[in-house]
Amino acid sequence: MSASQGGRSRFRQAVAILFQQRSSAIGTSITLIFVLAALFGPVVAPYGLNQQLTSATFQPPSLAHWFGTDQLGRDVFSRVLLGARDILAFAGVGTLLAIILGATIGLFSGYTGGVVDEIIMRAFDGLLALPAMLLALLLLASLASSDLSVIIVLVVVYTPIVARVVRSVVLSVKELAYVRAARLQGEGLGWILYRAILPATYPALAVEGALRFSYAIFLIASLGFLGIGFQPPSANWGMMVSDARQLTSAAPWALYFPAAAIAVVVVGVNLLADGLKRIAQTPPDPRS
Amino acid sequence: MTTEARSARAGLRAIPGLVLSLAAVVAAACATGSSSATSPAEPEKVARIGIQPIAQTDPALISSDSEVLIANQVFDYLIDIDENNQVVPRLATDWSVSPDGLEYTFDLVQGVTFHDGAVFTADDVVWTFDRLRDPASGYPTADLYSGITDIRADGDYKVTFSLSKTNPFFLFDLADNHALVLKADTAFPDRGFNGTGPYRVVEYVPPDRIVMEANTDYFAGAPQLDGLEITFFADTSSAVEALQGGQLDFIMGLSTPQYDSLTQADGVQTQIVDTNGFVAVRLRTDRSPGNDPRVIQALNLATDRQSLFEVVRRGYGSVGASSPIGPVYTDYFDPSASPPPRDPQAARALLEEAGYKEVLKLDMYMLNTGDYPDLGAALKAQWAEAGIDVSLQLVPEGVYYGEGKWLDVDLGITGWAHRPYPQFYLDVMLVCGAKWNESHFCDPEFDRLAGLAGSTSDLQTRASAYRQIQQILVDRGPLIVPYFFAQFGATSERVQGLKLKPFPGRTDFRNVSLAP
Repeated sequence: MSASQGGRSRFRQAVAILFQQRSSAIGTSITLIFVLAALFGPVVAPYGLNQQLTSATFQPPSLAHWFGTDQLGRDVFSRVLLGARDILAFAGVGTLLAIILGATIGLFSGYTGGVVDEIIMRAFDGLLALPAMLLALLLLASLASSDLSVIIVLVVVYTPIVARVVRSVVLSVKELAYVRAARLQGEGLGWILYRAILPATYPALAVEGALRFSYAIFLIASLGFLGIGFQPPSANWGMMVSDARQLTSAAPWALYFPAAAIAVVVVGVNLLADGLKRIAQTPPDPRS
Repeated sequence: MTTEARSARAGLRAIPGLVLSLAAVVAAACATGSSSATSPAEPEKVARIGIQPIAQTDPALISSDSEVLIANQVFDYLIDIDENNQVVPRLATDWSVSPDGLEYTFDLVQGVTFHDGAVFTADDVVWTFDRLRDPASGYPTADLYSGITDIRADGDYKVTFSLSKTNPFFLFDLADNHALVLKADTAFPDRGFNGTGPYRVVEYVPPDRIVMEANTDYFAGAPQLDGLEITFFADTSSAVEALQGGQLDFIMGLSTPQYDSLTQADGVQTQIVDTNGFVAVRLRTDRSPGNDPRVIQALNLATDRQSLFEVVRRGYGSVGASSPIGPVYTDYFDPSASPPPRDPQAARALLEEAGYKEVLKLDMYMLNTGDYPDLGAALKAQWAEAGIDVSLQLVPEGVYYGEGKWLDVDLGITGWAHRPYPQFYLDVMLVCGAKWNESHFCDPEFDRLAGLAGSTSDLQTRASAYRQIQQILVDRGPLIVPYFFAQFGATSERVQGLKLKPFPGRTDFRNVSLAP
């Protein structure tokens, strides 16, 4: 069997595992729906992000405005849909960069060991001692408010966690025979780290990536709620919740729908992470 | 709205209401429980007030509505301002002005005592105002009273102020928020709360509450209430829920949506008062792009003030124009000085003429609280149609004001509080070189008219100058004033006789009573 056939078979097995259990099937579906919303939101949203229908403020949910309108007459459904792109794109890019950087540092630190490993890990201990939100606030206070700043915050907050997870896998793998053999064959450090050891971290990285992604969504929404890192008229769901707090009597829908979006997508991604964990724990199908 | 929509809305409403009510009830119950154990006041005649927490108690340094409200119950002004922006006697019973307008002599009420028993005399007035006008003090009133050359007591109950130049608004200046009379030689004005006011402090537990009892010896007659129980609420939403839950009798500083919701609430009376408080959208005129008058004209043409007023303020208050002189000043306001109607295409053409062929990009700075985010988003949408791409920069109050950003940035939105007369705005925000001239506007004709209005004692001359000023600001001024806002307050049903003032902190509780 060729490698590509094996890969396809493994993918089919993974999909089967994801949809075997109802919880992970729901999680996967929710995540997919939100990803589709992020991709195609601007095409399907009936109104613009900051399009204001000044004669239609505080409209309750209706056929014309599924989620109602807010205090400026903006369509809440369109804003929730368009907000998916902001939230998922920031969380996705930030998590991906944290995974790449964290995996690289974890591989290097775990494989090299000794003083280098000690220094890197103690530095990360220092970062991890601060709660994620506090660290994010400290960073944003010292950076200019921009999209890049939010990405930097996610990378700084999550890289140490990913690095620790990868390092722990490296420590259990680096003395295995095939790694020793690669060393004896004179393979370079890069080959050993990325070709020999890295594949062994994939299951852990997949689970960690999904978890970090869900935490990143929550962190971005929380920053939006606090009005930090994002500026109006951003449709960051957290910012929408914050804006609508004063409207609980006049337009509760402006509060509930973005809040529900945050809750649903976080739950969905966590259920997906559980599914990914099961995939990681399932050995490849011997028939493949 | 359909019945289904109403009931769905009511159901959705209930959830946060329940949570906030619970929190508010617990907070208010804690405050009530602990204070009733120590307060000698009769609980049934104590008005329960919910306000924002305070930071200052020294009258010379107070600024927020909450701080002024507390000080205004404990201390007295020499002269006061009523809900119609007119000066009225308080500790001064009468006054006269010399023919040249440079001396003001006040007769003081007799038989008044401070809460510690000391007798109030003219020396207390002299000491208070000497303190407030001391240039070395750093108090915000030092500038305001820089025109006073001398304050002297003529006996125990007469005091004379001498001025370096005529000031037709001097009586208003003496009624400034900070001008509460303290006992002479008070060592620690931020402690002790030793005033002559209608209520005396019996318990102050920062940051939770302050409890007062009626000063039954008050010179103008004892208050109708036995006391005030003031609880601090950092979040106005909680205070609103507490009022609706029957835990409070008076709240103020409401947002427009909160006021709107309370107008329909059972057991609540709402109060609204028009003010001259406003927000000014301004572009710096001393550097690009604002130094090209066509750019400012374009911003004006791109703005629909009526829409901003209706959407952001929901029609409460009044529509603005280009000047800080609003309809509240009935003697001075000129309704004919209005900017041209909105025309985004004409605005775009002007910008192209000014060299902005594609788009004019601007960062617009404002506070991250209150109506500012909504106003910014609404302006962004309006200006986009004229080819103006605004990036909103919302910053905390400490950054906007504390770091001087508001005086530095090209484009900003700044809130200006209500003042009982308009000269203040001209002198500090628009006269060439004024200390808070955030738009860096400089116009010799404007300065001449502002100087004339600020010095003449003739009402007609002053009114004429103000009308010309309003037209100059429409023609070539740096301001867009979307609206003048109203202040909102609310009371429980049992409160009687309360009149919210344009500066809500100055609201008087001496004549307030509670129905059984």
